[in-house]
Order: sequence, then C-alpha cells, then structure tokens
Amino acid sequence: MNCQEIQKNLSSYVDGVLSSEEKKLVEGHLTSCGQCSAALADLRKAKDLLRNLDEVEPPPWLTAKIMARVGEEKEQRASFLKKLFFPFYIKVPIQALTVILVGVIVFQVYRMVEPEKKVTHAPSPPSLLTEQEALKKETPSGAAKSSEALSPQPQRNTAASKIAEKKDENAQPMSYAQGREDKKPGNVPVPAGENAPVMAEATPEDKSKKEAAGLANVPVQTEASRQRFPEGQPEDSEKAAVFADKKGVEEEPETTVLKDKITRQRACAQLMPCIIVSVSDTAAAKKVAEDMVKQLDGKAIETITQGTREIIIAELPSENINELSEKLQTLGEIKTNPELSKLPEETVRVHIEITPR
Amino acid sequence: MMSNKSDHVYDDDVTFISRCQKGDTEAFGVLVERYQKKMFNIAFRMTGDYEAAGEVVQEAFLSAFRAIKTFRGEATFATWLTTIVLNHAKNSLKKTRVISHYEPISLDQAADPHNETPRFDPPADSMSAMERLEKKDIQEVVQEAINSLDTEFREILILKDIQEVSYEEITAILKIPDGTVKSRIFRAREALRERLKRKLGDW
Repeated sequence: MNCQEIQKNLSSYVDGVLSSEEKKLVEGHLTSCGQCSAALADLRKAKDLLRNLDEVEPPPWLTAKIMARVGEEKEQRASFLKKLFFPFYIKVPIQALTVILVGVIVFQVYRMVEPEKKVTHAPSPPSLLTEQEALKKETPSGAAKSSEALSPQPQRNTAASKIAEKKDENAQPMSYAQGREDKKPGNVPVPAGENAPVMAEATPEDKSKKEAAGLANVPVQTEASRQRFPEGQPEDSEKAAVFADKKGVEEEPETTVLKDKITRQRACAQLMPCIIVSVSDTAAAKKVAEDMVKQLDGKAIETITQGTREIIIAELPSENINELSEKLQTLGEIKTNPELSKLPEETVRVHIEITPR
Repeated sequence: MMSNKSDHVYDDDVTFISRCQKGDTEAFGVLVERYQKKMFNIAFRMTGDYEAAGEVVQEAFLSAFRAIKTFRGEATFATWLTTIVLNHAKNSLKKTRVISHYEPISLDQAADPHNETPRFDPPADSMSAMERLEKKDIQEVVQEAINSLDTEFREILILKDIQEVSYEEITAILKIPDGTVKSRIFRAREALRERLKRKLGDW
C-alpha cells in the first residue's frame, strides 16, 4: 500500500471503521512513513476543530416563532376547509328557511283556494232548473247589459239549448254554483269572479231569452269582455256573423250555435290564457294538440272548427300550461296572450287556436 | 441512532408524532422544542449565517408540520428532520449565491498575495497561527473554511464531524451508499484540511 492509498484510508482509520486487516496495514505504514503520519495528525486536527466548534444558541424566540407559524398554517387550512364547506354551514339554513317559508305560503294559498275548489267540483248538474234558480236571483238591471251582449241573437231552439246546457255543465259549473249559493264574487278567482255577476245579470224576460242569455253568457266572458272591451263585443259578433255568412251557412240552429260559439270564443280568447299555433295542417295539428292536452292531465272541453281554424278549449292543471305551450311549439310557431303568464288557479282553461300558416 | 453532543435520543418521539398526525399542534411543539437547537446548529453550519439559519429552521419545521402525516417512522424523526433542514439550507445557499455572485468572499482569493487580508498574516514568530488566534477567531476561521467547501462536503462534515452522526445515519439522511459516504468524508476532510492550511499557514 503506497502513501496515497494509506492516506485515502486515514479518514476511515480515524473514525475507526476500518477492518482489522486494513487497520494493521495502515498502522504498519504509519510507523515507517512520516508524511502519512503528518497527514494523520492534520486530519485529526481538522476533525477536532470541527468537533470543538461551539454549539450555537438559537434565538430564544425560535420555538415560539415556529409554533406561531404552525398555528397560522393550521388556521389557514381550517379556514380553507371552512370555505370549502361554507355552504353547509350558512347557506343551507338560509335555503332550508326559504323552502319552509315557501311551503308555508303555498299551504296558506292552498287553504284559501280550497273551499272554492270544493265549490267548483260540487255536483251541480247545470240543468234548466238550476239555471232558472240562478236567474231568479238576477237583478232586472242586468237585463239591458245582457241583451246588449247577446247581439245577433237568433231564435231560441232546442239544439242550442242543449248545447248551452252542455256547455254550462262543462264550462261554467262554478259560476252556476256560485250563483246558486250566492257566493261573494270577491272570493272567487278572477275569471269566475267576473262570470258570476254576469249570470246574475241575465234577465228572466222570457224563457227563450233567458236561456239564450244563459247560452250566450255561459262562459260568461261576454260580460267580462264587455267590461274590458266595451266596444269589442258587438264587433266580434258581427264578424262572427259575417264569417258565418261567408261560409254560406244558413241561418239554422247550428249556425246560431256556431256564431255564438265564435262570439264566445273570441271573447274567451281575450280573457283566457290563449295559445295560437300556426301550422300547415290544422286538422292533424288539432288531433295532436288534443292528445297533448290529455297527456298533461287536461281535457278538451270543446273543439270548434272555424273554416281552416281549429279552436280547442281545454282545461288542465295550471302547472302544466307551460309544458303545453312548449309542446305546442313543436307543431308550429305559437303566440300567447299575457293571461298565460298569470295563472292563479289550480286548473285553468286555455284557448288553443290552431291557424293555418 | 443519532449520537450527538447537543441532543439525546428521545424514545417517545413516536408518541408525539402520532399525536401530531392526529392534528395535535401541541405535540408538534414538543418536537420543535426538542430539536430546534440541533437543527439550528446544522442550519447555521450549513449557511454560515445566524439569521439565515433561523429562517431555514423555521421553514424546515413548517415543512415537517405540513408533511408530518407522510412520516412513516422508517427513519428516526431526527433523521427525517435533518434531511428537511439540509434541503432547506441548500436552497437557501443557492439563493444567497445568486445574490452574492458579484461579491464573493472566497478563501481561494485570500490565498492570492494581492488580496490577502491582514487578519491572517503569516506567522511572524514561533507561535503557531492556532495559538495566536482567540478561540472565537478559531471558530470563525473554521466556519469560513466550511463555508468555502462544496455543499456536499459541507453537509457531510457537519453530520460526521460536528454532529457526530453515525455512518448508517448519514447513509439514511443523504440517501447515498455507505461506500460513497466514506469516500466523501475522506475527500471533504482533505478539502477542509487544505483550506485551513491555506488560511492559517502553519497550524
């Protein structure tokens, strides 16, 4: 082993990590080599210098500073978690509160509406009898108004009467019931509220007229429309008449009924939620539309064909109205009236008009 | 096992570590209290700067706190912590070197006769340089000599000769094979001896 190799091993020798053989070799060399002995002395000196370096005292605040920073770190982490779950701590209660509040309001509204609903569904087979009962309570002052509304009033006939009755039954049980029970109009939701007094205004002048009044006013929008559109009513009626003439329909019972219907539907359209659909094939669209109404828990109360136009008066839950208009949109371009956006009742009647494009 | 002059080995470190891992900050405080001096000394010898050492130790303990859940006890807490402190110290040195790049204080330059500093004049009488120097000065010279070494020599000398850490432990801290530890210690000591000689002349 030459000096270079010995000196390489001196470090391990100093640390006492050489094998006994290597140690012997090194020690043997050291006794005979002054240079390597000097190197060993230097090495020991250097090692001692390092070992004898004083320990340094860390600043007294070091532990506190470290722990303060650790605390900050933990806080930050905690606040991060807090932020992460913030919605659960704060927002949820607010949301829950809102939901409860809405629930309470809905319940209150439901309770307010319920009695009327009962009335609405009360068995009130609108027969001539009930009609007459209702009419008995009517004020004579309403007669003029009523006849005014009746405009081109044709001869009374049985067919018309029957239809009228049927309509009454389907379309306006409420107003009759109210008439009968003398309900305060103030309690009644808007359309019915308007309808009720109308019924009361019909005159018992003669049976024909009475019934005609019933017929014409049954969906009672006549009165309402007169109130809203004082000039509109006769005009509409005239149009209807003209329309009937154009169609070449003779002045027969059906024509009368048709005219009435048209009159009424027109009036209806101004009060009822109304959806006008422009389609290419009205007949087909009508069927589809009827199906849609059925699908949405509604029923078509009445369908009218006006030349190329199809009118469906349907009754369905108000919450389904929007869906209906969306579905109808698949048939063609739709137009709606403002009534469609304010639906206070649970069940609404909607006027669907299917017109050719 | 670490055997060093400033701290003894704590057998209950594991208890405090597991408490720490469950979010007990106070338990971490105990560990900080136990090891801050040792870690500060390592950091100080590495950086050669008291202030920088304080920063290094703070950062290292913060890192340890953040990573405490990853501590699996394969090494002792002291070993684990030493590795973290050395890494932070090395990062700190890199930054400092970038900053002081244009004004280096080097022992090599001191060896240059034109740049020789008057403080380390060659001995004029029979007293050795070591004898002439006050103890405080010796400490400074040695630290300067350490500062002039490469980082890997620095850290291994600090571990082996200052902290008196065992070979096995050094292998664990530096994650280098045993043979490499030995040869690096040899080279580091050689380098230091050379620097001290150059610095002190006859010592």
